Amino acid sequence: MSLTGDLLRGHTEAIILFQLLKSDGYGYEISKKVAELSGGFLVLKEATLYTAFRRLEESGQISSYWGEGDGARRRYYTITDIGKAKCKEIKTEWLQTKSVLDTLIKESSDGN
Amino acid sequence: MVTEIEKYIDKLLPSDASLEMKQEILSDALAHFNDLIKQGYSEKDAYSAVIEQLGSFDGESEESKVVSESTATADVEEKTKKTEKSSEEKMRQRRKILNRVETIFNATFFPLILVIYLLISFSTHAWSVTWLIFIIAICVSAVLDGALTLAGKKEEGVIDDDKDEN
Repeated sequence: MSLTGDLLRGHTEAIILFQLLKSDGYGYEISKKVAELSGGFLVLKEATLYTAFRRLEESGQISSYWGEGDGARRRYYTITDIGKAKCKEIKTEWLQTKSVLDTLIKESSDGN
Repeated sequence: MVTEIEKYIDKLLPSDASLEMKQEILSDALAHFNDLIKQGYSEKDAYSAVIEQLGSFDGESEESKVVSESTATADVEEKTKKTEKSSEEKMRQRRKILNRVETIFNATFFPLILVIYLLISFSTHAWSVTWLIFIIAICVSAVLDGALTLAGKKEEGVIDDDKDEN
């Protein structure tokens, strides 16, 4: 559980980017989706979430705008073209990493 | 409860946090709170859950701490490499100086002895004794040569030890 959490937390920015690839969203909405999709394994604290938002915004991968939602004023985030390109890059890297790990773990399991 | 959440966020955020940031966090916290109330949570439980979810804004988040730690480790490694390089550089310079001293010594010692021998011999006319200057000079040369060689080997030894350690 702890190892999974640590592994997932290391990819917070990627997780946010891929959520925004589906649709624009605000902090709590994204956090809730992530928690649901990860089966409760990854619950992003607001502090972690906002730090990631700021970093992504500074690097031009996302942008934000204020809008109304459920009668409240909210800050929505949207993915930029840079962010979309980054998603492709992350996906390629992830598939390569996964393939290497799969092979290594399979080989180790066969050895045992 | 809404006011309490607002107060909590005010205290939680650093003093230099922008109004926009406060508004954003507050609106998200309220959305979370209302969501929990809809799910059947009591106001108290919903408040506790929202507060827990906020985390700490003191300094950096957990994730950025992990990033900072890895950056700090990289910095330490970089500094260690620089220190190692500078100590190796110092040793190389010391070895160069030793080599120069040895070369100067070899080139000037015996001509100097010859000059001393001739000066003393001509001024004292004690030719039967002054030839001993050469014997003494050979002994002195051997001792100095040995000392220089030993110093050179010591320097090389230190470098080798360092390499072995690395």
